[in-house]
This record gives sequence, structure tokens and C-alpha cells, in this order.
Amino acid sequence: MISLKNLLARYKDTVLINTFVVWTFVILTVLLLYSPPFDFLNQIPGDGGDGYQFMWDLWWVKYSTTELGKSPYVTNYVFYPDGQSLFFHSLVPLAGVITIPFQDSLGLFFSYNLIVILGYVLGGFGAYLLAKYFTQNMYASYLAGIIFAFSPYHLGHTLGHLNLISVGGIPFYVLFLFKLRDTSNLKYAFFASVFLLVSTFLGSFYYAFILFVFTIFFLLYDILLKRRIDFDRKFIYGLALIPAIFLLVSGIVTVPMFYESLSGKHAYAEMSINDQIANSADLINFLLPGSDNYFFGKHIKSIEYNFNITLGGAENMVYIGYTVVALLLFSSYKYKNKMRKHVLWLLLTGTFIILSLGPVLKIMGATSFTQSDGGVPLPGFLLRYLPGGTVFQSPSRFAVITYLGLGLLAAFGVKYIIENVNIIRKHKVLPIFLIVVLSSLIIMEYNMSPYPSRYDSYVPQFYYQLRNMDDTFSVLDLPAHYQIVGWYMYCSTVSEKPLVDGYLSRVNLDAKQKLHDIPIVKLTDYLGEDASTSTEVFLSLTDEKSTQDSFQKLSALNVRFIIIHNPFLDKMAVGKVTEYLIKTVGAPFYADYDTIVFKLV
Amino acid sequence: MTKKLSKHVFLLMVLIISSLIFLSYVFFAKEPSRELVYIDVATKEGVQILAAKKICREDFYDLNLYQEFNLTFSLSSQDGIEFRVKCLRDRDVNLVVDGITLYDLKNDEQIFWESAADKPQKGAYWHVTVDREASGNRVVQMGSQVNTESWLYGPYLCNDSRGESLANRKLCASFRLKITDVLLPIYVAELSVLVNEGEEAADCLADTLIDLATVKDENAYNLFNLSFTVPPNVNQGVEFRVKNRNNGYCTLIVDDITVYKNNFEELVYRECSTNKQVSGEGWIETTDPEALCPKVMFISSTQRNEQLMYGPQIITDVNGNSMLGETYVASFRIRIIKI
Repeated sequence: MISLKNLLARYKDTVLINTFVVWTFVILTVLLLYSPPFDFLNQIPGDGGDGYQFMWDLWWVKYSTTELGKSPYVTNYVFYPDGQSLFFHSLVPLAGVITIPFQDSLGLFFSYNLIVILGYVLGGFGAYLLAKYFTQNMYASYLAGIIFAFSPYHLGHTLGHLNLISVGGIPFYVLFLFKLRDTSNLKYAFFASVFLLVSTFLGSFYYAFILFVFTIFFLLYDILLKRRIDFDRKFIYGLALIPAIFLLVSGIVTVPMFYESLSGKHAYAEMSINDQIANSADLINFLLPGSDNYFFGKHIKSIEYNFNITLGGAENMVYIGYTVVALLLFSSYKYKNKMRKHVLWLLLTGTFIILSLGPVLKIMGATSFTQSDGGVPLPGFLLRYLPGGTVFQSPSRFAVITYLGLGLLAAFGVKYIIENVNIIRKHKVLPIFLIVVLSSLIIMEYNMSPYPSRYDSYVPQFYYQLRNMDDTFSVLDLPAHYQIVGWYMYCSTVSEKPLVDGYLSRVNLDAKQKLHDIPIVKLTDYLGEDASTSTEVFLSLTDEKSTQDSFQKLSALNVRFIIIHNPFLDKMAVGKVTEYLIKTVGAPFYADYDTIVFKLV
Repeated sequence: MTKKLSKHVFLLMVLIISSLIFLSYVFFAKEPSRELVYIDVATKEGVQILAAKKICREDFYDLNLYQEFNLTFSLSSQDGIEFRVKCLRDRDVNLVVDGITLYDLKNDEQIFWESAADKPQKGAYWHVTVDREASGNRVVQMGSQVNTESWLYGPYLCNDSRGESLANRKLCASFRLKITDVLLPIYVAELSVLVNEGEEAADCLADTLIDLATVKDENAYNLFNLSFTVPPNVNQGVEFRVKNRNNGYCTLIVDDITVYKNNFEELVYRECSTNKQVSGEGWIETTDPEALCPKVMFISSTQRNEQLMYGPQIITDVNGNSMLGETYVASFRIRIIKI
């Protein structure tokens, strides 16, 4: 029997090396995403918009399971009283579960940061292990980890997509899929399905979909290009075992999802082809970094301004990087015979670049290149016909696999350089310097420092008062426009009171529209856009009939408090709404620097 | 053996380098930023920065002293230029911006001046207020309690005050700023006790201006007391007035006015604000459960200044005793909600 002591002794070196690799990824993540004073309790990386929604997600998973004893996939804590199912929302249930022990003691900001760092470290370490499996060279593999973990795709989505930050399961799934193919050992099928589940529930169903496409690619490559059809029976069992375990464990979510799909209930979650085109990568995005780039950002902004295009934003961040391109060109030219063996990774990279371009080719924002508005259709169009393909909003997210492919190709290139350049081969320290230099160059090129941060963990005082009120009622936060509602949801994690509005990744727009048809909500919408809204519009939304309509509808929604958030409205607009509400409801129930609250009787 | 050694050297190197970077980063992070404000001259909606400067606490010679910060630049295109000011987070002082002056360096002459009070704003509010030391009287200030970044921007200037193009000229934008430890007062209401109003001998017995900074709790009514002595001879009696001067910063809710004698020991008069007359259409009746009167009067931040609540004129107290020649304290019960 192998004792723990023997086990540790046997794997001492591996444990030591892996610990150091993980440690360096932790440090690099902190340095690249956070800024002084590294206040993990009050600072999150990103622009804040979707980040607050994800903090609500973390809280909701905890609150629904531990306090309400309900499934987190159904809620009426947003869009009260009808609520909405969250099957097509970017809920991160595993992240919610992992952070349960920290949410109360260290807060939601810390919990969010924990998942961010976990995403980077697992992603980098997973890519390192995957590359090491193929290259047997830890230096080269380290570079693959750097490229995958700190890719513009990953840094871009860290602006606010907690689900997409959690890329950690992807390289592990790929690794175990290859191990399954190479050994036909069923334990790897089990591990692969575990990491498929991790990719889905710590990450996103996007990643499940992408890994599904990857698996098809993986099989087609073997069957069509390697002309391998004599698969080991155990391998086939293993392949069948992966979806079986996945469906068994995720059935509680996937079955209702399919039911909603079949019954047409999820129509609101479907994206039009135009949405998919808008969220596809632009060919130019692969060659130009985003406008947030540390070195090139200034020039990119000028290009954006002069050509009236957008190169920044999470969905456009698919820049490959010239260091990686130069490394690949050099390796391919110098070691073409050896690099030729790795056509799988080249094909993989190319295939996922094409898929990330979406249904039609887009260059500098244009999708038609002839006088007759002719576009160039791409294979991404076919994805709409796969299960879940119409819910897939952003084809550009396929780029996540591109960076895995690039990382592997770069690792092979570096491996051959280390093994074949005499001076490097002879001096054992030089490979280290080569990796340090290449890693530094790649990180510098991908870098978005100083990474945008949100510091506002502050929740207005009134939400603490709300928490102490026992009855069941809902709250209307105004103005109710778009991303701000995500922040209101974050505030509701303190009040634990339902909101009549909500900000979800897939929203039932009919419910949203119904809310925005209420005159008082419409009034703040107008005032939010233009505080000097015409007198006729103002009067029409505040006359006796509209007032009666407003309060009847709010009463039907069981709204007890209207909270006006001063920072999100022009001072003139706050004055007008306040004046109207004081006239109709009476003096504010509560007011402070941020909020003016009216109680509806 | 060599391979193993190389592995360990690699690990050691990575660990040492990364730890050094990490520790130095954290070490430098211990010193909080002293940067207070960022100024720049920009075109193309901030895409092209012609000149910029971050101003630190040390750059100011002293508190409460206006200082000019210059940015030299030249404009090669016909794009309109902006003079932008961004207050940075985590300041321990208030920031006051007076105005921006543009100079032509070649001719050494002033060619444009802009009051910061007239600039468009983005982010948390800069408050416009009056400062006698300012070149334009009106200034904008940002309190130290505001912990978010906030911009003043515009005016997208292509020509100088004489209409001559700014392109291809050597220019200098001078930003006039100061830091303060105490906010400049923002007056929101004027309270007064008058006698003989409408007569030639009208006299103000007492008055005061309410500074927004004095409002500690927006959820409670504040009592503002005015001591006054009624002259022995009056024609039109005593009246208590509330004049709106909120300048768009707050909503005033006036509950009642009570008059005391003998150091608050004896209540001799009380009136609810709803019983008073008003000038203009700004003062409106509403309810407030926190008020002492069944109904209260409020005036919104959107209403123009100078609207008055006045009357009635009294010469006897609730007991029918003459007030002439006596000394009283009038207590105005007002709730001020900042907007």
C-alpha cells in the first residue's frame, strides 16, 4: 500500500514545480488585474456593469438554497411578483456554492475576486498541464499557460463577465479527452465530464457548447485526417460516458432548459442573426489590440475615432499578438518538419478563429463588400442549427479555444528552439531567460494596465433599513435604465427585498416593457435621457390619469418604496421627479446623499 | 542531475523575480496617491490629448489660495478643443475651480475666458456657488466626501473670443484652482423676521441664511432660531418669512414657525406654514408624517429663487397679549432634502 509519505516523496518534484507554477499565476493575476491598494474587499476588476449582476448571482445562489430552500434557477426577487426562470441567465451556481463560506464574512466583492483569481490560475495551470502533456517541456508549457490565461479574450471578459472568466475547466477537459483517447482509461472520461461540468456551472453553457463543438472537431480530426476509425471500445465507452455523466448531474438544469426550449417558453432568450453578427469578432480585431491596451490603446482610440468603429469592449478582444505570431512564424520556418506534426493545433486555432467570426465576415465593422450588399457567409452560420445555437449570443467567444491552440503551438515552437538552438541547449539557464523574456513580451502586449476597477462596494443606507422590515413587498428603483439595474440588484443583496425590475443576461422583454410602460417609470426614463424633457411630455406623464395609472400598477406589483437614485440622474431630473412625488405621495420617507425614498401607502 | 538542477534554478528564479515584483508593487502601494485633480486640453471628445497634467496636493502652495496651472499646446487641426477637469478619488480636501483662461503665447495676450460654473458636468455633481475671491464670482466646488471621479468638460472651442481660428497657434490654457478644507457656503434659504412690511419704516428684526453644509440629517426637521425684539411702536405687525434660495440644490419643506418668550420657556405663538401666503407658484402643499402640522409647504429644487412665504402680520400673541417691546425667539421648523 502506498502511504501518503511515499506518494509525496514520489511526486515531490512535480508537486514543487506545480506549486510554483500556480503561485506565479496567482501573482501575475493580482498584478495585472488589480491596482494599489489591493483592497480585495472593496475592489473588483472590470467596469462594474455586469459585475454587480454576477454578485447578485453569487448571493442568490446562497440565499435561495440556504435561506429559502429553493432552486436558484427560479426567482421572483427580480421582476417581482411574476419572477423569471434563470435557466437562460448566466447564473454561476458553482461559483455561488464555492463562495458561500465567504459571502457573509468577507463580502460579495471578495467572493467575486476569489472566482476571478480562480479562473485565471486554473486556466493558466490547466493550459500548462495540457501543453506539458504534449511537449514534455515545462518551460515551453509555461508559455502556453501565459498565453491562455492572460489572453486578450480573457482580460476583455474580465471587464464584467464572471462566467466567462472561469475558463479553468476548458484545458483540463481537453487534456482528459486526449488522455482518454491515448490510454482508453475510463477514469479520464470521468475527469473530463467533471471539468465539463466545471466549465458549465463555474463558467457558462457557452463553454459547454464550445467544448461540444471542440469534441466534434476532435473526433472529425481523427476520423477524417488521421483516417482512424478503429477506436478502442473503451474509448468509445468513455466518450459516451462524458455526456452521460454530464446529463445525469446537470439534468436538474438541462431538462427544464430543454423543456423550455421545446415548449417555446425560451423564445425571449433566442438571438436573431443580426445580434449574432453584432457580437461576432471583426477580422481586424485579431490584428489590432483593444483601445484599453496599455501600449497601443492611444493609437487604437484614434483609429476608432477616425474610422468610426469600436475595437474595444469584451466581445471584440481577440487580438492574437505579434509576439506569438512572430514566434510561430519563426518556429514554422526553422522547424517546419517538426511543426508539421502539430497540424491538429493549427487546424484547431484556425477553425475556432473562423467560428468566432460568426455567421458572416465582418471587416472594420462592414459586413457587405459589394454594391449589391453582398456579404461573405461563414460556417458560423451553421451553428444556429445546432441545439442551443440560437441562444448563442456571441460567436466571438469561440476565441477562447483559439488561445488554447495558440498556446500549444507556441509551446511546441519554444520547445524546438530550446532543444535545437545550441547556445540555449548548452546553457541550462538560458531556457529560463527565454521563457521570462517571451512571457514578459506577451504579457506586455496583451496588457490592459491599469486594469479598470470598481471600488463601489457601498450600498446606500436605506437598504439596511429595508432589511429590517419584515413584510413582503417590492421596491422600485429609479431610474430603471439598463445596466444600473444590475447595481440595484447588488443593493438588494443587502435589503433582501424583491425588485420589480431586473437585469439578466436573457430577459423577458415583455415583462420589462410592461414595467417601463408605467408612467412614473417612463417619466424617469425620459428625464434620464434628457432632463429638459418637453413640458407636454412631462405633463402627460404626471397628469391625474397617469398618476392614478402609475400608483394602481405599482400597487398591483406590491411596491412599497420608490427609491430615486440621485447619482444616476441629472440634478434637474431629480428635482422634477422629487417635486412630482412630493406632490402626489407626500414628503420623502427617507433621504440621504444618494437616495430619496418615497413610501407608497 | 543537471536537468534537476536546472529545474530548481528555474523555479527559484521565477519565485524570486515574481516575489520581488509583487513585494515592490505592494510596498509602493502603501503610499496612497496624493493626486487630487487631472486637467487636460483635448480634442475629438478626449481621444486626442494635446496637453495634460495630474495635480498633486504638493503642487498647491497653500489651502484656500487660488493658483493657476498652465498647459501649453498647439492645435494642428480645426477640431474644437475642450478644457477638461477631472477630480480624482480619495481626496481629503475640497476642490474649487474658478475658470480657464486661454492665452496666445506669440502675442502674449488673453484670447478666451470660461467660467467653470458654466461647463457641462459628468459624474457626481460639482456644486456651483459664489466665491468673492474668484475672477468670475461664480465657481464650482467638489466636496472631499465625493469619492467618485467627476468631469467638467467642453466647450469644444474652434475660435477665440474675436472669432479667429485657434489652429496653428501656440497656446496656453491656464486653469485657476484652489483646495479648501471647509466647503464654500451654499445658501439654500433665507429666514427673516420683519416688522412694518409695506410701510416706509419697514424693518428687519432678524434674519439668517441657511447653509446647505449645516444640514446634518435630511430625514429630520431642523430648528432654525432667530432672536428678535419687537419695537414699541409698529404699524403692520411682525411677520415671519421664508425665502427660497435653494439654487437647485435642495427641496425645502416648511412645517411650522413657533415663537417663544423667556428663553424658550413660554410658547406665545405658532403658525403652520400652510396658513402663510406665498409669492410665485413654487410653494406647494403636501403631507409629511414627520411634521407637526397636518400639512406642510414645500418648494422644489426646480423652482426659481426668491419665492417667498410670508404673513400674517401679528402684534399680539396667542394669549392676546401685546408683543410690542418684548424679546422673543422665532423657531422655524424646516426639513432640507439635498438633490
